[in-house]
Amino acid sequence: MRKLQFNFNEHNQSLESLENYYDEVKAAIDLKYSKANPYYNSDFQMMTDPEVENEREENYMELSREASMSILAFVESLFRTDFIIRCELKKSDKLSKRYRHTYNPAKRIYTYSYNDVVLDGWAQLYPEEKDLINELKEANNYRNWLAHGRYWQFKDNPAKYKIEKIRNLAHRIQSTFASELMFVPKIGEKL
Amino acid sequence: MVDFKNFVEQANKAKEEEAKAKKFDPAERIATFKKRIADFYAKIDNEWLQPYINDGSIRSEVQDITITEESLGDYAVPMKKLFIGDIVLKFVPVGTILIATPGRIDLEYKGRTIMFVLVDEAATSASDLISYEIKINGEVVERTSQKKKFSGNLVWKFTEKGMRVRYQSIDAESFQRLIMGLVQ
Repeated sequence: MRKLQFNFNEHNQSLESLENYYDEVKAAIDLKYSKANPYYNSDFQMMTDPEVENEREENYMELSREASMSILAFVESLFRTDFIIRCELKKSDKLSKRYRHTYNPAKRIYTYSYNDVVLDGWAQLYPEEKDLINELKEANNYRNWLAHGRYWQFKDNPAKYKIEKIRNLAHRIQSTFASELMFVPKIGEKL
Repeated sequence: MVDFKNFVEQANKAKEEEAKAKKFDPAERIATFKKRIADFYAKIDNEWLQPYINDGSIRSEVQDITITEESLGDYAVPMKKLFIGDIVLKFVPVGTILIATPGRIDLEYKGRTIMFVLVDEAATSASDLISYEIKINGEVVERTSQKKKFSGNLVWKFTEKGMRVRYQSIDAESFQRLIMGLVQ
């Protein structure tokens, strides 16, 4: 039986852990900017209430962006892992054959476009999920904008990609494709 | 983690302080603030930049602007502009209902800001002004106390926003140095 050559990370994150992190940090921001914060007067001395509120909102926004980037990166890891396994183990189902047609083990994995190669394969195979895949592709454009430092004018409206929407998208992707995605087997498991 | 009892106490304390604050006279508060602003502007013209104002090398102009504070509503305050060649410095009163100070004027220049705040003459940092007590289950676990004896005399000092806020006294030299540092 073929063995996987790719050096996968054994300690990859889970969607749950990323969401827990977001919830905890948001709670910390909530506390810091509330009158329940025993250091409130010291932390926000000389500031007006609207200034404190604005600062809190800015911090919420940055946290949302950070969490969105992590969650979308997690979703990418699901599809990239699946892509690598299908190609390296030379699987024979339709999606795997489609991938293997373009796959070259000498090329680096990131040269295969996530949106145009990896996700397009799923959209072709599951046309009933095309809208969901397209929604993910659009979110990936937002993620790329964040990941590369937001230095260009984003074509879409960034405010559209609220953290709640990204979390919801990640859960729908996971539940829709969970049974079809290939995962790195744990010790003792087989693919 | 803040326990629920502490959370409830803090919320009720905040409500009591708000109720106390509501007994104050808004008109009097605004009038006092405007007087403080006028005193500050007078210091600029008659002390800190006097020779330059007098010989016309620095031009000073005052116009009314409207600011809004939740407990006071909209009211007019004087904004001062200083013209030094092509340099335009704006002194914009921010308000009188702020945390730890009854008055703040922002000096603005091309997106940069220096804050002038009303504090006790003896105060040099935030820890001089603010004391707090933290209790867990009714037991005091942390307490600070005001380290300095206050004069009771409020003066304008300048500072910049940051984690370690220090209030610096103003005289002609420090004011002029401040302007040069802001512009360069």
